[in-house]
Amino acid sequence: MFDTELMAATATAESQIDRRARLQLVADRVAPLALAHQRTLPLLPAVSELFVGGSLQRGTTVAVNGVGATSLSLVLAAGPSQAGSWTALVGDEGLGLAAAAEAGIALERLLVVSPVDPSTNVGVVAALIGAVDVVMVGPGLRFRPADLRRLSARLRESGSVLIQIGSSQISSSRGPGVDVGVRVVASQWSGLGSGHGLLRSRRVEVCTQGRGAAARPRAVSFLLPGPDGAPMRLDSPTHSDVPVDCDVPVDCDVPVDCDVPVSCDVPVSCDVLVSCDVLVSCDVPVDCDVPVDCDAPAV
Amino acid sequence: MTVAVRTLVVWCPDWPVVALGCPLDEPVAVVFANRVVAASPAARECGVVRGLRRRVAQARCVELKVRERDLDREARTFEPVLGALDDVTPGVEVTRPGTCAFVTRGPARYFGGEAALAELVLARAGEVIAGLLAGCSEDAPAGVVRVGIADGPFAALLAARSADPARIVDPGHSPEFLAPMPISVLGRRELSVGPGLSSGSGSADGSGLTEVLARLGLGTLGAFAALKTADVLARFGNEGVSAHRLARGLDEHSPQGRLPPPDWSVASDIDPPADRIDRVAFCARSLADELHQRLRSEGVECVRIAIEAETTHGESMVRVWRHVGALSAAVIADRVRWQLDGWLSGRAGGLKDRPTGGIARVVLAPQEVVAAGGCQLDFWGSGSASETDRRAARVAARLQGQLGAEAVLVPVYGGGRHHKEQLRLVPSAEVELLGRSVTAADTQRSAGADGVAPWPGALPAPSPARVLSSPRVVELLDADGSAVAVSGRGRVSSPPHLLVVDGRSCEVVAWAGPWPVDERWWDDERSCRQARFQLLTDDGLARLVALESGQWSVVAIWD
Repeated sequence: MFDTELMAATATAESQIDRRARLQLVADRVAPLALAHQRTLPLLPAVSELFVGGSLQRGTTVAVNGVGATSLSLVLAAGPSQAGSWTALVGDEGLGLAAAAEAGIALERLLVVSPVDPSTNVGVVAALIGAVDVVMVGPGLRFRPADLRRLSARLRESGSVLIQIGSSQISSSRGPGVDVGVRVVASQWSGLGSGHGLLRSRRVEVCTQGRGAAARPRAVSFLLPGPDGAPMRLDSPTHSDVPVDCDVPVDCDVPVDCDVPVSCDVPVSCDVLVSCDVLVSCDVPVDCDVPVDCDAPAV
Repeated sequence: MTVAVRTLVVWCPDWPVVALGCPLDEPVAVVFANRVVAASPAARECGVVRGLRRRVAQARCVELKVRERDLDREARTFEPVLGALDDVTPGVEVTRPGTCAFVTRGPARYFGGEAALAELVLARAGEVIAGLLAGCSEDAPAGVVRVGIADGPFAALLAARSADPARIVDPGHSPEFLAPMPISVLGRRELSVGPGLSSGSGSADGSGLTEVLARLGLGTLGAFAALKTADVLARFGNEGVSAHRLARGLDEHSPQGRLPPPDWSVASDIDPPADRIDRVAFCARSLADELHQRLRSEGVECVRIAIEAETTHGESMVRVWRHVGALSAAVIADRVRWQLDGWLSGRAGGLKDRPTGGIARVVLAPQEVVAAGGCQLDFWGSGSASETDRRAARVAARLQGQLGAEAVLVPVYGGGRHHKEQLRLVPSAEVELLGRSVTAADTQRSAGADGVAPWPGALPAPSPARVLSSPRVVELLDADGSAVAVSGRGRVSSPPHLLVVDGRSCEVVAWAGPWPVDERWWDDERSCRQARFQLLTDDGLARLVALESGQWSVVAIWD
């Protein structure tokens, strides 16, 4: 009837594993100190290869630059946010919250602080650093070197991560007081034609360079954003250990294959996308010849 | 059901005339806003009644003396009458100048019965009024004071009006006494005694109610009282029920009314006034301890509290704080410190709002209390996840105190076709910060919908990472250098070729659109009719541009 012996054995093995895991958990809790490489925040799989150890080192400052810096910052913050950390954004009201949600940030754990008086920015960031795990500062917000040193000290002490959202214009990958510089060196959109289609995904080439263990440049290509807004790994990640010259834009003429089928079998006789809950990306622009009584004025 | 309290009402007829000191045997009318509000008996005999225009009144009685109403004087002249009644009993309640009431139970026993009490009151009040009128007529005219005793102030007042000079309705006989009264007495303002019908709006409503009742064929209070309370409530609402209770000889308000919530607020005067935050915080700490003790002894805990501080110059600042779980003394003290820190340093709301004097008074007023349920902590301190949540909530509250409530924002789901509307930012003080959900599905479910309704016309993912708070005006040109236009049918005049942003031009590599939106055309202020395009330019940026009333602008950027 029942293989009770086997069941019992399985149960014992499971309970032993379970017990061991729980013991490990307790051991971790009562451990007197945490090594630096253990104090990390998780990253999304798509960007984990950008950083040493596949995770964000706590207490560091990350500067993100290049075209797509905002999306990339959101993706970096999304990993910790999904793992239960709180995220704060200072001085950046223009951030697209829908994009943040699509990138994977838990909006219920997001605080947006926009001080009226810019002179209070440093104090605000310092207050947030102790309390939330990831603090993002907007592109309009730059600190003096002395303030930045003080913030860095506070970061190291509290274990939060500061992400500076750069602008697309800044070319230097790493400024003073920044531990890791992340830069989008090349980007290519797909999905948009001339008069048809829709933005679907963007293939980006991102390289990181930093201090200490991160001194060796790393470069990764992935989709930012992917078709659903979330970052997506390419099938064969081009993870190169050879140093890449970050200042030369990588020519990316490989057609990006999004493995989402484009479902356009029927000719669609409409060149406007109105109240259509199925996204039809139609490759052939079709003229709408049906005469319609329309006296509407021009937009 | 409890019977209304035995009440004695003293009513001085034509009090506005009496208060002016005019002799009652001369025709005198008191007018207010060109209408007669009171007339002496002599004038009434000539046909001068309340509500007449001044001219009409003068036409009816040629020798009529017309006086303007003086409310202050009426109240002032009534004071001596009240003083005389104070000797009889404390706790005389003035309904209006000319009318006052008190509960008879004590004084009636002391003076040997209600009849004796009525006699005494008549004598005392009559004496005073005679003194008032002494200069005008030789003896106090009869009927300047009337007294009625019945169950409840309403019946007692009606008894006083029908008295000559005193009328006592036996206990429990008020309904029989009221039954033949015309229904219109319910609506007459000078008759209503309770707070519900005597207020300004109540009088208008009351007369409306009596008109309806009269038209329904209910001519007397007795007929109205015979209706079922449930029917009256269903037809006329609470106001009808109050009137119904009056008609049945009960008090206007049901005795099972809600008890007013007890006042748990504590206040502390700081002397000498404190201009440094640490001194205020020290006082706040002991004040918070006191409040906490008090609430604990009542078995409640506070989840929302108003903290008010006042300076020596009368400036005050109130802010309401909400907290998940109970506000402990330390938490309250923290909030006082944060709020006042921001205020004293002038960071909250600009430097001009900085107080000019030291803080002289701190008030803690609990606004929402719940039954104390206690709190069980985890074995390993408090749980790791909830601790981070609490830390974040604390810093949000702290920054609010420093920067003002509008500076710390959290996203909520809004819904809409535009990226700016789909998720809105609201002050974090407005929402429950912990344990909420921002997704469309949860928001719609909490609003009562059973599924996620789509927003037709909204752009699908991926969403732009940068949404401009105010659209940036740009130019979109075609290959010939003329502006691209979109017809009413949504047809593009020619393919866009060049995008000019702030004088810099970028070539359009790829584009799609237009996706027209015509929203809220019935609303002038919020209407939005535009055609949206996605443009990819040679600088690698994808933009969402919109054409609205002939003007191109960048709405969002896929950065």
